[in-house]
This record gives sequence, C-alpha cells and structure tokens, in this order.
Amino acid sequence: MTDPLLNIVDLKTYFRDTRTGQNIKACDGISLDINEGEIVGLVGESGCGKSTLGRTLVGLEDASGGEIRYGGENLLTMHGRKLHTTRRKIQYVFQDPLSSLSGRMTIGQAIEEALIINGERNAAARRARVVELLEAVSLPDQIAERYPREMSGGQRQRACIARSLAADPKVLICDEPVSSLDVSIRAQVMNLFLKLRDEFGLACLLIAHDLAIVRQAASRVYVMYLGRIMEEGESRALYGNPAHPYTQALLSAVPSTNPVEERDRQRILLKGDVPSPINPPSGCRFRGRCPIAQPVCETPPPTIAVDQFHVAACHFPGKLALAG
Amino acid sequence: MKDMHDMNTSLLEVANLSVTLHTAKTSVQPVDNVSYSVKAGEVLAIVGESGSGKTIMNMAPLGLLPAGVDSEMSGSVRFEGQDLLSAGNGKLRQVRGGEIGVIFQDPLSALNPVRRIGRQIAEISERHLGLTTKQAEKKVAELLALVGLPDPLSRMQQFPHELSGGMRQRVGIAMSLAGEPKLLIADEPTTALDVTVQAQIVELLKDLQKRLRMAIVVITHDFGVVSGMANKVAVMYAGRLSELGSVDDVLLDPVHPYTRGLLKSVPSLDSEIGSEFIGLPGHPPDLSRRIDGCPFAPRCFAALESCREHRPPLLPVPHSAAARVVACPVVLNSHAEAV
Amino acid sequence: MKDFISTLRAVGWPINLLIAFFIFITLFGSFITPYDPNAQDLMSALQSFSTRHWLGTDNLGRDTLSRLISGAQTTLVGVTIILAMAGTVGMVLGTISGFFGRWVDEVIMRLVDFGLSVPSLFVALAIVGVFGPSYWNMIIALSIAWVPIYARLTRGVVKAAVNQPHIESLRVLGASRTRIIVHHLIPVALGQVLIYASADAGLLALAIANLSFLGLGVQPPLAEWGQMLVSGMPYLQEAPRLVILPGVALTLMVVGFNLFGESIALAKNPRPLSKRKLALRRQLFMKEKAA
Repeated sequence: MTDPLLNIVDLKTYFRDTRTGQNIKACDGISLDINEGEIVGLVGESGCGKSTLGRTLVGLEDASGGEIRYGGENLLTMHGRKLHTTRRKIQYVFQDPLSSLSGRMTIGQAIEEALIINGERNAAARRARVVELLEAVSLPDQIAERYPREMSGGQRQRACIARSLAADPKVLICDEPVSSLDVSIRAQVMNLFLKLRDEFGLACLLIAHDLAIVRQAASRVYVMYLGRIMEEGESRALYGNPAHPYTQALLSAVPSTNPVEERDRQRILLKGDVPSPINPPSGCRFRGRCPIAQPVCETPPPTIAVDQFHVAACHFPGKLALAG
Repeated sequence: MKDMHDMNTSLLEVANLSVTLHTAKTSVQPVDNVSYSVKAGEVLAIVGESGSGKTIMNMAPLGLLPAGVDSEMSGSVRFEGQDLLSAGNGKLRQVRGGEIGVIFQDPLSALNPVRRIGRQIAEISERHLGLTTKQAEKKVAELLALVGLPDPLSRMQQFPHELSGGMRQRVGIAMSLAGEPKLLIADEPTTALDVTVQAQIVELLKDLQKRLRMAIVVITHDFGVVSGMANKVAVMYAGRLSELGSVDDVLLDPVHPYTRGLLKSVPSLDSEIGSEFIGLPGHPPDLSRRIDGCPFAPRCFAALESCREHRPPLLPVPHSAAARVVACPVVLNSHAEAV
Repeated sequence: MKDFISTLRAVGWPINLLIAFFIFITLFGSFITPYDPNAQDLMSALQSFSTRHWLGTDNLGRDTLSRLISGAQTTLVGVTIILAMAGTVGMVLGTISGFFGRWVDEVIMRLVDFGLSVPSLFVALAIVGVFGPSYWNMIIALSIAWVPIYARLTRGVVKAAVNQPHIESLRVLGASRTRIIVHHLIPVALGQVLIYASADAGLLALAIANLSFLGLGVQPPLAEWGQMLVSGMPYLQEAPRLVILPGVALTLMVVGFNLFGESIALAKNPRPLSKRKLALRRQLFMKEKAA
C-alpha cells in the first residue's frame, strides 16, 4: 500500500474563549488520510468542528498540536519558501462562492491574479491558461469578462474552483461546496469534482452535512462529532452497516422524498443539544445523548473494527437496534 | 356540487395572484397569475428553488416585504372570505400574528435580541387575544411546553442568544402560535438547521397541526420536508405554478418535466455510490424580462417549438384526482396515451 | 464611471452644483477675482455694494468679492492638504492595525482612542500653542488632530474585510501580505475614507476658520473667511456685510459638504421610489410586457 498524499495525525485546533480564557476544543485529536485521486467525505452537524478541520488544513487556523503530513513531510514544522510552495498544493473551496470572489474583479482577472501569485510572469501565457482553466471547469471563455454578480450560483462556484486550480493543487478541501446552491444545479458542481478526480487525479476532502451527497461522491467517509471522529470507513460499508449510534441517528434523520416511506419510518430522535466544546464529556463524547450509553462509556471508547472496511470509536458498536 | 362545498370550506383562497416588484433599476414579476387554496386543517407545501417567487407570493399579501421595495399586486387573496389585498394596514396587522401565524427561516431575525423571550411572546397574546399580563404569561408557559422546550418557566426569562438553533426555532414556532392562528405560514422553517434537528422540527409541526387543527402553508426547497409533513404540494417555477396535487401523486408520480427533474436532482441514500449526479441543465430565467411561452422550455427535455410561443395553461391530469393540475400540455398528451 | 454618475444623481443637483462651484473657484479663482484681494486702497475703504465693487470693500479698501473668492481658495486648499495627510497616515495606521491584529492593534487603537477622546480642535490648539501660529503649523496641527478618525475608520473596514472569504481565499492561494493589503484592502478602505472625507471637508473648513478667527491659523494679509470675520467685527454697526458675507460663505461650505458626503453614503442604501419614479417604472414595465 502506498503512503497517503495527506496524512493527518492527532490534529488539535483550540480557540481561546476571550470571555472565560478557556480553550474551545474545536478539533480534538483528529486522524485522517486522503490518498491521491480519492474523494473523502467528512460529515457531521454544525459545530462539530468539521469546518475548523478544513480551515486548519489550509492554514486559515493555527493548529494547536498534531501533524499534517503532505507527501510524508509535516507542514506544521515547515517554514519559509518550502511551506509556501507546499501549502499551495492544498486548496480550499468555500461554501459561498459570491463572497469568496472579489466583486471588483472579473473572473478572468481573479484567475489571472491566482496565476501571478503562482509565479506566472508571462501575460500571454496567463491568458492562455485562464481559458484552459475555465475549460477544465466547463465554463465558456466569455465568462472571463464577467463579474461575479453577473453569473449564476453554479457558474460562480465553478469559477472559484477554476481559480483554485491555478495553484496546481493536489488536494481540494471543499467546505459545503453546494449547500448554498439550488438543488437542480448542485449536480454541475458535484460532477466537476468527479471529473477533476478522473482527469487530473485531484484528491478532495468533501466536508458536508448532506449525507446523501457525500455517500454518492466519496469512496471513504469520516463521521465527526464534537471534535472527534466517531466512525470511519468505506462508504459502502459505513452507510450499509452503520455501527456507531451517532451515525445511525444521523442516517435515520435523512428525509426521503417518498411520502409513503416517510410516513411509517422510524427515527432515532436524539435528546438534548450538542454539549459545549469547552468542557466536552469525558470518555465517549456522545454518551450524554446516546440512547444506549452505559457507565463504561465514561472511559475513552476503543476503536473497534466493525467489519473489514470500517471502524467505529464506540464501546458498543452495532448494538443500537432500530425499533420496528 | 362537490366543488361548491370545497370553496366554502377553503380557509385561504388565492386566485390569479400576480406580484410585481419595482426598484430603482428594474421591475420584476416574481409571482405570475397563481391560484391555489388551502382548506382548514390541511398542509400545503409550496416547493421551488431560489427566485421562484414562493416566499414573495406568501409574504407580499401580508405586507411583509423588505424595505425599499415597492410592490404591486393583482388578483385576490381571500382569508376566511375576506380579501387581504384590499384590506387596510390595520386589518393586516390584526390578521398577521393573530389568525395567520408566520414562522421565519431565521428565527433569530424574528426575535428582539435585547428582550426576554417570555415577554416577546406574551405581547402577541395580549394584543391578539386580549389577555391580561398574568393570563398571557401563563399562556406562554403552555406554548413553550407545547413546542417541547424543557423547563419553560426559566426559558421565559432568557434572551434569544442564550438558546441553540433548534431551541430558537421552537421559540419562533411558539411565537407564531401565540395568537391562536388558524393558518400557519412557515417560510423554510428547517433550512438553517441540522438534519437531526430538522427531523425534530418536522415532527413537532406535524404534531401541532394535528392537535391544534391548524392549516399550514410550508414554503420550502427541500422535498424531504414536503414528504414528511404535507398533504398537498404546489411546485413553482419562475413565478408560475407548474404542478399542483396531493403529495403522494406529485412526489411518487411527477408529471411536469420540472418536477421530475427536480426530484431526480435530490441525491438519495439509495443512489449508486460513485455514480454521476443528476441535475437540470441551464439556469432559471431572468424575471425582469418578458417570458412568452413556458419559462422552463429552455431547460426542458420534452420542449416543442410551440412551448416557447404560448404560455401553457394549467390542465387537470386525466385519470387522476380532480385537484391535480399540471402546466404542460406536451407531457399531459403523452401521459394520457400511456395510461 | 457609471457608478460615479449614478451616485451624483442620487445626491441631488443643488448640492452637486454648490460643490462644483466651490471646486471651480478654488481652481480658477485667481483668474476671476476682479481685484487683487490684498491690494489696499484706503481712499475707497468701507464702501457698500456698487458696480465697481459688487460686494463692497473692507476697512482697508480691499475688494470683498475678491477676498471671499481668495478665502475659499485658502480654505479648500488647506482642507485638501489636511485630508490627504490625515487620510494617508490614518489609512496606513488603520490598515496595519486591522490586518495584523493582536498587540499591534491594541497599541495603535489605544493611541487612537486617546486621540479621539480629546476634541480635535483642542489637540490642534495645543499644537499651535506650542509651535506658534502660522499657516503651515495650523495645517500640521489639524492633520495630526484628524488622523485618529481615519485610523479608526480604516481599521473597521479592514478588520471586516480580512475575515471575508475573498481575502481568505487569497491567503490560501499563497498571496503575499503586501499583495493582499495593496491590491485588496486599501482600495476597499479608500472608498470608505473618501466618502467620509467628503462630509468631513465641511467640518475641517470650520476648524480652519475657528483657528484663524482666534488668530492661530491663517495670518494676515492672506485672505481667509475666519480672519475676515474678525477684522469685520469692529465695523459690525456700520458695515454688517463684512461679517455676514464670510459667515454665509462658511455656512454654505460646511452644510454643502456635509450634505454631499451624507448623500453619497446614503446613496448606497435602497430607498422606496418616489411616486413619480414608481409611475414611470410601472409604465416602462407595462410597455415591455406588451412589446
């Protein structure tokens, strides 16, 4: 087996709560691998730290501990020029494409700027590359003349991706890339990720709350709750046989468009709210809301292989049975 | 005869409603000749993507539009027989929050950040039901318990920012119920929420609807919410109704090409892992331009030359429930042949 | 350019004309003054309105119209220099403060807070008091006094922009700090500073007049409205126009620039259409529909 392209070990990102001076543990010991040319999913509810993880990976937040290894080298101990060139290999796609583009620049200018940053000095070469990049995201080259506000949401998001591609990345970190788009145009952007993977071997960390979208696109999935990974594995195995009670609850909440199914389905309704990441519960972080929590859950949960293809961090994986 | 009876029991009767908005730069017509009705105790879902006019269609007749926008409405919106479009501001204020409750997408924007929750809700009961302060406070405690807030008495003393997103939406719902409405208009009530919380809120709304025998109009882009709580669905595209019918008919056997495409675009937990995503080509039309034929024609697989020339009428679907109408003669013809 | 014209349209023509008039006499005033504003002619002192001297003469026989025009020049040139200096220094400080944050921000903002807590005119008075009254001392004093306002304004704009995705995405792309600041933050801040400055110009004109009135700013014989007020005071009884005319000019300038700046700031917000415009839009819409 080859080494993963991006290998994250025990990553921690803490913020200081300015009011109390305590640490907010947004990411608290995350280990995660992304292989070359692989789409990996990261799911969880808002506030679980999945966005913070993505932002830490591209240097928008400072890590408090752990390692981010790209091609075997730890980014967190790297400096200067080397850090600068390595960092660029990991690019980020924001949730809202409109606010991640400058309103005062045309799309062509924005992409050209990214090329200048990447060290392309020749203006003619830059313009040729802009056309290539727009083509790579299936946008006509006249789009280069447009301002972001003159484009549709799907076009904007594809333009953002084209700009990221200007840095010749190996990994795209996509934070809710389609949640601000209309349902009927989400496919344009999602299929683009599949295409970029197939044509350029671009790896992708797909951070999303929509479990169905992640399932369809990603070959492997991580489920995150309150700063920790609860369950991870191949999509087929994890979705087909979810073992962690949290994953089960999440999946049971995904609505179906079939009203007949929807009428007589069983949901695992979780009690209470997500606890504060300042003082997370000891042991299993989910135990306060878990329907099958036992006293032993106050100790750190073991990582148990559910089957050959996926593992869960739980004392009782697969023990929560859906009634009915 | 049956139709007469239906007309009489309709709580909300919208007929040929058009809304035009004028701003300094342009005029747009986000709602174009729409008719539908809601009976007492019924849940109607209005589905559409952004810019389909679904929110403006419901908010404009109630006088709830952003500042700086001038609106012009034609047609009629009758609530319990009274036309809201010709009603004065005083009457509107009385209906809004009273007999018609409104739930907003962002509960925080509907709450005053510097006032206690209990007082804000109590005020509505005082105004619309004429309760005394004491009675209103008691009513608020009941309402908060009804929407499933634990420990309602101490919650009443809290400020909106002290609550989580799900709790806030519950407070928003309690507030919309404070005037004992007969009709609840819920604008994207679950969009800002996580899936697990979303499931809770849908359950809650369904439960409240049964217990209080209200009618609900839920405005949403999420078919999950539609299938979870609605009896009837209206699908909107570019300010027009494209399909209207019972939830089982429309969701299980969609007829209009737009409804079909939209339903197929929703990824499900049954789709093939690693397969291509299905969507619709192109994008919605510019509503400030005149649309001659069917607004969906440029994106439609079944479009004929005639679709671009004449506006397709809403026609009943043959061999189907009487209330089911679709604005696509092309598909209706082939549908009739197939059945 | 299109934006510029539509903003001016929103401001309203009376104010635009007034501002254009002030700018015109500042640029070309020297060519249109009927007399040398400093030429004394004691033979024709304290004359009233006449065809020779449209607005009369002062106690030294100088032509009032010429002095008013020259005074506008003095004031507006001063205002422009001060705004340029205070705006530049304020923007540099504010950008550094907003972009780097942490202790740099703390230090700069505490200084700014101190500057803001003391009325600007007092700061200017103190500086002139120490270095002595002169035209350039006044300019420097007012510039220093006005820096904190622009530092605070810029810092707010920059701080809001820094955390926006479009700046963050540049950081991820590997853009240097210089690029982000020069190409993206300063242009945004500049827009806000210019809007604020256009309203502030009136206040500064008043401050210059104030200092000159107290004898701490513009020194005779240079024409300036505050000065003209002082020298006209002894003749209030016999020739009130010597006080009233510079007073009116000053008021027009202060109110004019204030309204101008405020209207520009408000032009960005949507407003309900006037009845006339609404009817027009409606007509247009009907026509489009019918076409």
